[in-house]
Amino acid sequence: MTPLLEVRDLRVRITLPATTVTPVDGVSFSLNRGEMLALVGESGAGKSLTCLALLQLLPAAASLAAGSTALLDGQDILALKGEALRKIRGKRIAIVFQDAGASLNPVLTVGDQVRETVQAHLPVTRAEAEARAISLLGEMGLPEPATQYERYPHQLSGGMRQRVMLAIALAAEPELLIADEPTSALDVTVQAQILALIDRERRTRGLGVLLVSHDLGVVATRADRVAVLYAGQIVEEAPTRELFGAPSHPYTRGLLAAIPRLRGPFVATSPMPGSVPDPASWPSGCRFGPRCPERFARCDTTPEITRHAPGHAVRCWLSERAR
Amino acid sequence: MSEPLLVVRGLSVEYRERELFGHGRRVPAVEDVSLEICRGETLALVGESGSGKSSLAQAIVRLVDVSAGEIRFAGDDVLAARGESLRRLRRGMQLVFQDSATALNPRMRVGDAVAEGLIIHQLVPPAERAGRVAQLLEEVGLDQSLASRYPRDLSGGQRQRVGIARALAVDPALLICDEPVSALDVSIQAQILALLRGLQQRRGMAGLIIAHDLAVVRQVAQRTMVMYLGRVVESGPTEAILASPRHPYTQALIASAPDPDPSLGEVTPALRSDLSTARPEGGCPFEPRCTHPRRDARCRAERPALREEGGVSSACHYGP
Repeated sequence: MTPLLEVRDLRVRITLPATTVTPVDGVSFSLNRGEMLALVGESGAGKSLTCLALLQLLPAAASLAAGSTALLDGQDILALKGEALRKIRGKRIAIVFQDAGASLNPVLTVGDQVRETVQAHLPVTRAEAEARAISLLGEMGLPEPATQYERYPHQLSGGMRQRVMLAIALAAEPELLIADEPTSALDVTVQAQILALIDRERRTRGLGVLLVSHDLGVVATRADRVAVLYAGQIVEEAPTRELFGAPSHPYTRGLLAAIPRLRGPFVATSPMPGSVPDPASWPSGCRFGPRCPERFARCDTTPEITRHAPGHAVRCWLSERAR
Repeated sequence: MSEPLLVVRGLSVEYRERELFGHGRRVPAVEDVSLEICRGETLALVGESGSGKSSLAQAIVRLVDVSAGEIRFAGDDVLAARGESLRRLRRGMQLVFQDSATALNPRMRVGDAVAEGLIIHQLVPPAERAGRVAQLLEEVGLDQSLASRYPRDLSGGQRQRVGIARALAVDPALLICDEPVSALDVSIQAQILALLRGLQQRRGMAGLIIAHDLAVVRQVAQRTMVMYLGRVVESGPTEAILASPRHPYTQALIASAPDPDPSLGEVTPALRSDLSTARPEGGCPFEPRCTHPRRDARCRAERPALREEGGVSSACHYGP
């Protein structure tokens, strides 16, 4: 079966006055229909640039390196231009960002913004589009959707605005949803509701979801697989239960030990030393090396990502030594 | 045991809603909140946006006006303090903000920012100032060479450490931290939490930590107060609340919290809607979102009072 999305060797370069940096440096993953893959990492890991690159929405200073491919159903979407690209964006691949307030147009009613998207992508009349917009708002959990249709973004709470963004994202029945920190700005009770909503959509519509988050807790109970990003590269990828149950990369282990837990007996979090390096000063050899408690001589050379167990890949010399 | 370090009784804070014309409605941000913090103890105020937790903290240090209530700090009446006595009180209670990028003056070197309190309160002779600043930086885990740098040269975690060093400079009896780690990456967050725990142990300082994240609070606070729309809905020892939350809101907050453990299964939020800021007149503030099986007309008509049982207080007519 062809995966819905297959990303190979994605590289994003940014040209700075003095130098060129590669904040996304050879990212590869695949995603099936109805599957949720989480891309997790701290700030500066390259998560958001990965998302933007897939839709060719990179900022002007950034560009894709030759050899980067992203196949949507076998078609390279990084090579698309003009009309062909427009037919993919919003129609087959939708994206929602963290800050729904900034993504919505403040002078249009939220209903009109959903309707516009429906009309832009589907062959419907204005009245049909309006009816579909109302039903979408209702499906996304907005109470009294016909009334909410007439409201402006500033009249809604952050959670409600994110529901509107999801209605817009799903308006054209996309196959792939890229959700970049969709709940990070929301209160925890609202966050759980929005995640439940995204999860429902992928189960009922077979939507593929690329969920990007800095929070391993958020993805733990929703994602099928998790890829951990550090300094522009995937350092570990595994089925969710395996990643949490048997994390193999020292960075993944450090991240898990740093997260404060609410359930179970009290455990003081144990901090990892240092911080994520800047792309201009990535260490040679293993990029996590300088922070790694398990570092040994071989870590001065660059590890490749290798299969560790079925469906479980790790970029670490330790796991190679263990095999 | 003598009087607690901080005593707050029946505190309320109101804001006026801004309107283009007319006076604007009065909006209660904090309603009738009482709390106590003993020396060496850390209390957490937990709640989501709009819960009034930050307004409460700001009222305690007199950054916003109080519409009713009483605040006593180390035996002094905080609300009556003026001039020199207010300055002395503020030295005793230091505030650390969430966003260290905006809390620090961008044109002031790190060393000068840390020394500011020493100068204002005339704590150290000028000749010894640089040495004291170096000590403070070391205490928060920063290299003393950073003293000559500007905030923009620092990472978010380093800036937050500077904010803490600045507060420690005047040797406060109470450290108030408003969302000290919520803007930080997980690995940096753990570093700051470890620093705060270390300070509690070394200095025996009391703390008031404001946070939306119960798991963060658990790392540093012995007691927790859960706030909802300006009111306290549950209060008690942190571990007791986490082990058996009584108020339906606390239960929802805990159920919604994302723990990094897939075996927990899906988080099912037991709530009827997103946060509604419409405050029901007279009734329970949480009633519009509550899923308690016994929720009824009484919840809409009568405001539940805090009732204590086994060291934990909660404000629900029907309990768990």
